Amino acid sequence: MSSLIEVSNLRKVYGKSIALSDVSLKMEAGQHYCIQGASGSGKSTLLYLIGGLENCTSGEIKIEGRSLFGLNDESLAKYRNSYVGFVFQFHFLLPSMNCLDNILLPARIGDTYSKKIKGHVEKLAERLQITHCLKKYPFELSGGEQQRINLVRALSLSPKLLLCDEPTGNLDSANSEKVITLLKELSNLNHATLVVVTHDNGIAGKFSNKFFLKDGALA
Amino acid sequence: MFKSVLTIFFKDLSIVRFIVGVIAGLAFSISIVLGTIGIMDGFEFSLKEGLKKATGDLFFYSSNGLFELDENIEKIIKSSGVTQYSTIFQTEGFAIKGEKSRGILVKGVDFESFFKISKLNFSLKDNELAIGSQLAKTLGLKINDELAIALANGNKGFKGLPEISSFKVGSIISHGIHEKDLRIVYLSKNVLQKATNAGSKINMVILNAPKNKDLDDIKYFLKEKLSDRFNVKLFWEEYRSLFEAVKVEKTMIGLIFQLVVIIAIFNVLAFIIFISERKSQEVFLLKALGLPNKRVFQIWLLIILGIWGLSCFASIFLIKIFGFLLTNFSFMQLPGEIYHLAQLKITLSLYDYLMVFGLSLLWLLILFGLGYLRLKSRSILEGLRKEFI
Repeated sequence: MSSLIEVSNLRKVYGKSIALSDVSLKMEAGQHYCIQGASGSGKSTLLYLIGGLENCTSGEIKIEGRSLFGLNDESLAKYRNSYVGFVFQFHFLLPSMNCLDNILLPARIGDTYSKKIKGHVEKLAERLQITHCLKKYPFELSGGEQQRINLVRALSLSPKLLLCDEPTGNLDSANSEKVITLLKELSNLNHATLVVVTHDNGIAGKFSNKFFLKDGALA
Repeated sequence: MFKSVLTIFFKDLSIVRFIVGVIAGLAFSISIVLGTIGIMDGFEFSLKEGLKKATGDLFFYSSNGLFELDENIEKIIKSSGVTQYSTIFQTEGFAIKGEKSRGILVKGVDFESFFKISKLNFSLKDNELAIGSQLAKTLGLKINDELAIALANGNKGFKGLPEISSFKVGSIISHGIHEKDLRIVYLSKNVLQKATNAGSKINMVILNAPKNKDLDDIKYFLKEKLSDRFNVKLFWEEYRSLFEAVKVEKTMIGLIFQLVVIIAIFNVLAFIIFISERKSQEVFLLKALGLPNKRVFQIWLLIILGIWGLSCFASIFLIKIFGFLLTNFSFMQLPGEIYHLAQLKITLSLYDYLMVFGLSLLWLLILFGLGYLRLKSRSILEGLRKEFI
């Protein structure tokens, strides 16, 4: 049986600097993974490449056996929209929209908005105790609330792959642990594969499936 | 989806203000070009209309001077397809009012047939004449005032002495051309022929061509059939060089004024740069969340077409205001003795609109293409990192 994600000899070069060099790994469906590494080790680049936000210099990423870089722009956009849920480190919430509109943005972009999706979003918000935030604008929320809105947006279309870039970057250890537990719980609930990028040893310790990156290569 | 994206752009008040300024600037620039072309077209149109009022679509005269409209000539006119024509006897003279006098061209016309050709509607008694509006102004004349006309009286009477007759001003008319309104006086043809001892002779025939007939075809037909002593001319040929000059000027000014449009387009470029810098965060996030490049292209194109459409619409509005000022306010009037017409009006054809709007759209699309390629060349990760980190 083929893996959900299959990365082969992946290389990414920005000008003269090598961000990733000959990275190969596999990830199975429904599992939880952690990519650990110091700042500048290429872990976020790897995550963005898996998420289809960037093209590689050479190598290949296969998702369910299909080459990601062989997809045309439209298919790649669809992959980013509905297959992948991104939890960004800096939340990236649009200041001109209220939180509910921010959460529903992927559905609107993919023209898949429905009452069912709205209901799903409301259930998630209730579970994460942010129902009172939905009509508010991002600047009215605390960092923790923004993070949870970010999480609900990533899960709004029930993606098969949940990619999280330093999701605990701004939190203390107690809250970091809560977030990781929540991410695992929610990914299990959605039968999604969870990939978390972190530089934190403590967070990495919460995962049994780990990849360690050093200077762009798997250590 | 479009609504969501447009909300991102236009919820920002500074973007709305900028876009209003850009639209106003482009609209002003387009209206400057349209206004200039419109005035030139209007000048040509008004001058031609005015000329038509005096001579119909075309006219012929004899180089020998006076002639009789015999059966042969009438037959030739009819076989050319022309059904409306009018004979004129005209001579030069002086209009005298007290201490003031003015050289004039006195036209003796048959009122009914002349009206059909010129649409100048007046009917005069034998002791009445019709004068142009500028002559009335110059000599201070109004309806029922007396005006003395000095005419050459042929070979009879004292040689070298003119025949002076007094007439009442029965009508004050306007050709719309300053020179003609200052110089032309109309009398009954019979009265003028009698006063100058011309008998039943005439010296000009004016004709209107049927709408389905080409003016040049009729001209060449008449030229060929009438004897060599007749000169056949189209109504505007008197001003041929002026019309040609206007045409050349229109093209040149139209091209030069593209610079004005280009300057306004630079405002649009500034707007594109502004919106790209200010909103690229959002654009890259939307792309990260699954917005395909095709949609980004469509949204940009929609914004550009919106700017262009609203600018065109606003420029039409501005042109209407300008046209209103031009025809209703005296400070916008021209010195008619220099420009032939005392008043200008804006005349724009569909082709003029399409040309000016089309060229401005072309400039916009070129800039849009360059801006879009620049945005497209950056990867999502590059955009997100540059903008967010």
